Amino acid sequence: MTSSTDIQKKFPLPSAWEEDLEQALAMVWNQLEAGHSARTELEKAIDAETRAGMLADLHQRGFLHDHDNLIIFSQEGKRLAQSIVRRHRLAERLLQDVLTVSEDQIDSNACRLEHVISPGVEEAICTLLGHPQVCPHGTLIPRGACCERSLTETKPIVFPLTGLHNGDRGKIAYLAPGDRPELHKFISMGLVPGAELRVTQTFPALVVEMGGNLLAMDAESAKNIFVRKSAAPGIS
Amino acid sequence: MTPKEKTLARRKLVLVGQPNVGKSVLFNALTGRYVAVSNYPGTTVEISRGIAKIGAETFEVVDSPGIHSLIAQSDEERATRSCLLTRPDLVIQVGSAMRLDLALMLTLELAELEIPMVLCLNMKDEAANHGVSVDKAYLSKVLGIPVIETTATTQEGLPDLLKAAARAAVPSVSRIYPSEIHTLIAEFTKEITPLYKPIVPLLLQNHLQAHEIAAAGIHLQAELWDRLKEAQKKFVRPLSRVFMEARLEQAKVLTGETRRQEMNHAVRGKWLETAGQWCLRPWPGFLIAVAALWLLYEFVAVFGAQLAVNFIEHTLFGQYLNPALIRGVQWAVPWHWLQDLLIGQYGIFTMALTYAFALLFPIVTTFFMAMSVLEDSGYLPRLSVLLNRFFRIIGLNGKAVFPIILGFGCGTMAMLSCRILDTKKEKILTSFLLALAIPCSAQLAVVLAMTAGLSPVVLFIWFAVLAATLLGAGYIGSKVLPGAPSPFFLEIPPMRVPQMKNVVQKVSTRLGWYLKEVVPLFILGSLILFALDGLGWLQVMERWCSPVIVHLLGLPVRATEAFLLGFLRRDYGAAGLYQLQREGLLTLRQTTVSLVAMTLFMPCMAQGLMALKERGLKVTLAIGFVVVAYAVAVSGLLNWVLLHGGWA
Repeated sequence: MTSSTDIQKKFPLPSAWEEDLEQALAMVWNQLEAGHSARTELEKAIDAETRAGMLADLHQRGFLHDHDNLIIFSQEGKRLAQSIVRRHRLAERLLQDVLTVSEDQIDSNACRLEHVISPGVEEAICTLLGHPQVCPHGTLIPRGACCERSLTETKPIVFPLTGLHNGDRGKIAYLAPGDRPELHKFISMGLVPGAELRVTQTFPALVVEMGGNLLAMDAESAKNIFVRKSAAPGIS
Repeated sequence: MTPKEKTLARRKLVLVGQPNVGKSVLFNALTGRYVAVSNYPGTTVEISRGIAKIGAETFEVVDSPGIHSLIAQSDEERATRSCLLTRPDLVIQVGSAMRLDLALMLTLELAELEIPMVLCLNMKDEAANHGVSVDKAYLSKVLGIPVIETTATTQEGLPDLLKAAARAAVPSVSRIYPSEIHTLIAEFTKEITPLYKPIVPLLLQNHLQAHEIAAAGIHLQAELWDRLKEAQKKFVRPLSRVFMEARLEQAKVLTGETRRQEMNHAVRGKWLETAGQWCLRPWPGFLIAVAALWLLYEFVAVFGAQLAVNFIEHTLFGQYLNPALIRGVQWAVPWHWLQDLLIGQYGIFTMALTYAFALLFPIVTTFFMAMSVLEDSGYLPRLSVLLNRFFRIIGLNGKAVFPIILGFGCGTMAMLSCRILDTKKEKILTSFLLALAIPCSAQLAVVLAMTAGLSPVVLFIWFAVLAATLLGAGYIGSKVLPGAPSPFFLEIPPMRVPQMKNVVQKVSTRLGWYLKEVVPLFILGSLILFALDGLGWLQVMERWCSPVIVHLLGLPVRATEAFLLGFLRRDYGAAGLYQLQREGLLTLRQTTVSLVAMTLFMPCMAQGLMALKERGLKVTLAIGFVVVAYAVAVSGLLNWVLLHGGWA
């Protein structure tokens, strides 16, 4: 077994300094988004939440520019800030929609998660969530490359079972969160993440074949089961 | 079970398992007693008991409604859980090798109850058909309990099962959950009386209500409830899901280790699978549904209600039995009043028994035969799928097909089977519709007989009023009753060829049940009429009711008798109307109005009592009130319309 120090060497966590920097850039993004771009005002807000001189530091490193006493991002600054804000807000959606973490825990966890999400994982999360456009607090999630690509594709990769067509095969990605009684029935009948199924008909009710068993359900039930469509339909 | 058997049975054995794996067939085989078996998940809605001798010991055997897990949703699932919480001495879990993972998931959950058990993988024949085999020895070693394969329908493997019952043991599985869950279980186990230890996981999953625990004779302090809530809050996801997913994971591992399926195994009975698919799809599913209904009609209404009734009533009773009885009674009984009681207008022989055996017996027999074949074939769940959308309109879902179709046979049985429905709203609504707009087979037969020689318009009006009532009452009822419609979710069992033996057994059991209920009530009804007539009260009552019967509904005054009988049993009342019509006392309009009134009118006494038992006094009274008011109003309106339409 690999010891924890080996892992640290191979896959280093972002250092405290890097985290601070990302944190501060995200804060600037939030402030600018809210329309606070006056230098003095911004400096006070950022320095109070991080450390004295943080804004000046960012400025000096070339992440920010001055423009008539207003602060704007440099190209590099904008790229970094946008990326961290996107990861934070995606993390919030993941925590809320899929993991159903209680509201008071969302922000604190997202703040830590955002720093360890790699670009590949970021895309995977975004895709899983169906390229969401707003975070739980209502602010916009900056769009990523995967979102642009998804515009040319017709559907998100994970969608409710109601979106499968006759003969399609799929794998259950997750069940809609909650403690509803029918979800327990799903689980106890083997409808769980990872289970493979095949749609045998969609009208008048949806019928799926799973492990040799037939299950019938209406859209009301099926909309709570999220599936990933299998690439090669028709192979048995 | 007789009291004598009860004292003999010292230990209790419970059959538990997923729906439709053959618990009831196994129960019948073990006890030699009969409970209804059909190819429809959730047929066993009541717990049945019997006696079985295993080795030298006598067991009280309990057949429980099918469950997927101890998380109970419907009444019947709760019934099973309560039964397990009373700590039986032995559990035989019945499962299917076809879905070994689901069976094992339940095994892992049952293991927590710490009751000695045996795992019985039933329907071995079906598994073999699909080339599925299970490494029983390994499974038995891992679980620490005997694992037996059986085919209950042919009794294959039963001796092994009986032998294995003696070796039943508490399953030895442990540590299948994430470690923090185990810590939590251990923590609460320390605080609780050792006797209650098995229910700790259930408590943590938040699926035991306080009153259920109290009913099982377990008492917990209020402080412990608060602590449970605290513990649940610490987890991000509902604990029930954490528990269930962990069990399924483990079950899948075990399944992977023990279950083998031959690749490219030529599945026998492929045509049944194809037939099953056809029944499910809109095309040709709806055509099959129409054909099935037509066959049902031909068999019950034409063969049963016309040919068989004519033969039995006219030939057997009319020409031979009744004349002989009448002569016999006149010869043997000197008192005139007793003669009247036995063979008079309201006589026990001439009215009660003739109605019961000559008029209704052939009809219910043919209906029960057709219903048994339908049930065993596995067609009904497919019909549920086809009709789900229709049932949505009336606030129900496809699952209600079973009680409603059964209601066309016997409303009392249908009322009982409302238990398979998920929510209180659906149960109340279905009970209401059964009471109002679904005629039972006996009633249906009389309707068909009365309309047989008449213009088809009569039958059409009757049908249109009922269909409109069903749709309207269901639609309004679904809006008035609180609660959201429950999502439709149903397992579709494989199609099976009905076994003649099972069909015969089921029909005879149901007929026995029917006669036991019908004959005493019919005799009681004729006695009441006889007494009322003798005392001169019948005329008084007819006078009282005449504003409604004669003026509002435009019926002859003697129809009051039929409606009085209808209170006892709907079909008895319908038969009374039939008699009136045959005596030439009803015009076309009166026939139409009386048919509609009798169908909409109160359900029979047995159905009312069942409603009282299942739905409670308040709901039953409310249903009764609405039904009577609606029946009178609609029939009155129909009479008015027909009268003004120029019908005599």
